[in-house]
Amino acid sequence: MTEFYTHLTGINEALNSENGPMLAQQLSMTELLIITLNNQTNNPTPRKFTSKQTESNYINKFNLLKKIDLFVKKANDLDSLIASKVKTGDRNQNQIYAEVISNRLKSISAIFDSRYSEAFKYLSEEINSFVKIFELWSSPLLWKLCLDIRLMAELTSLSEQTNNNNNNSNNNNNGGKKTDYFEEATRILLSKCFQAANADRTNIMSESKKNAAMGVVNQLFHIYFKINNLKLCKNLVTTIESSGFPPLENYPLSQLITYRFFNGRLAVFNGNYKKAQQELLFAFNKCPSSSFKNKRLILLYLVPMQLEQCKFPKKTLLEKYKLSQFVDIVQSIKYGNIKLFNQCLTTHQNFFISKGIYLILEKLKIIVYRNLFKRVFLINTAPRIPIGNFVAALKWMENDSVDIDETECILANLISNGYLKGYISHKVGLVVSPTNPFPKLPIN
Amino acid sequence: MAKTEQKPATSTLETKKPKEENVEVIEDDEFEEFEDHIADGGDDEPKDQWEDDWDTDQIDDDFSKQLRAEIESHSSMKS
Repeated sequence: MTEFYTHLTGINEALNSENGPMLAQQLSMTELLIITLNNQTNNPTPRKFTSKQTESNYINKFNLLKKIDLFVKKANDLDSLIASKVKTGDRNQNQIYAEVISNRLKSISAIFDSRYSEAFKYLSEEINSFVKIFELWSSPLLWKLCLDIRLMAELTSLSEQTNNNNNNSNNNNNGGKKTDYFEEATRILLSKCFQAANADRTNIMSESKKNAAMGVVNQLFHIYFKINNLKLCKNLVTTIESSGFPPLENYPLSQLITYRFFNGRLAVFNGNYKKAQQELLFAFNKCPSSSFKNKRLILLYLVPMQLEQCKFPKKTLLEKYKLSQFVDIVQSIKYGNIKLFNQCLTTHQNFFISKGIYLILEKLKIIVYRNLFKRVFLINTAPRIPIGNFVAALKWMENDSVDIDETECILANLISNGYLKGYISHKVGLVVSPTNPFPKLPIN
Repeated sequence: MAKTEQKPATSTLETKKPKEENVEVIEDDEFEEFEDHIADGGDDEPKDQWEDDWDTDQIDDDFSKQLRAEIESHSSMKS
């Protein structure tokens, strides 16, 4: 019982001092959602806690909510009880915050009872209420709600999976149409949360609620990447980077790192490698070392982009972030060792495919050929090199069946792509340009 | 899902390496929320972690020596 009243006192304190971070902390459901998600037996990827400290903070919060919920479940008229306790200067505000608090407690209650779709519904009602009174100072709570609705969508989807598996023959009670909770969450995030930030008409950008937009967009990115619908990201990027919004560097750095990470991956997906490299390099350089997992994830996509620009990560960097899969890739590109390059791609094929970078790495093969052939040229020392020398190199590196036609084809490819300046003469072999036959990389 | 189910199969049939691969493929790769405010104290990473001066004209390494031997043996075989 005391926990319940202490909780309300804490919320009042945050409201009256307009302390956004404190309010977000008071009304957070993240801890409960993560622990419940981790307890789902069909969760393929339970989250690991970054530290023992974080884990015990989560457990403490979970236990506190459990105690509060015991009181909530016994309460006669929760709504009026809460309404009588919320005290800000404004009556209308009191009423709406009371709705926020009570819907949240009902959502929590439903989670403890494993009634997840109901919990989802209460949380969305909480959001509906909150966006009516959202102010710039309460942005941390808006961001918190955006995170929590995403986690809630994940939890509800997971539990629906188990239910469907358990009673396959049962008809769905809502007319056979299943609710897609991720879709529902994106709808709430866009039409409620993003709108709440976007609708601000003030001319003074530093006071605009638009400063809260990136925190919402990042949660949408999370979902779009999860449901693999990247084309939906484009509108978000266009909007938030338009002139009606604050410049990107005005947002909190933690949000900007996340934003650039997703935007970088989006650019990877769209084949815009130069942009991807810039976005990911920024994210990597600014991301604090304490977030090891995030650093590693950024690096996973940054490395192929850097390789594309012929910037090679040092072995120590790859080993530090447990990305040893790339060590031999780098080595093989550097020396033109096609055999090793092919081996690496085969060995780590599953890993690279699962991260969506296999095809990007495969395209680097032309640089491996360039580097091998440059060595053949350096060994030869004269500007006219017998095609047989290249054939010999390829027979050694690939297989014995490589013939002159195949070799000339690769040479022609290198020439037409600008990696090699020269021409093929069937009489004398490859005649290379007297100046700079292998232009410096990257060539564009 | 795969984590628990695949373990018994891999431990008897497979060597250590593919097992590690499996673990990597199903790892949780969600970008985490940053818990604290991040102060912008410049770049967190040293710049010299990326090499762009590797493209030299040196051919005294083992790989190049072997390559030379391959080319020489190939051309001597032909003539």
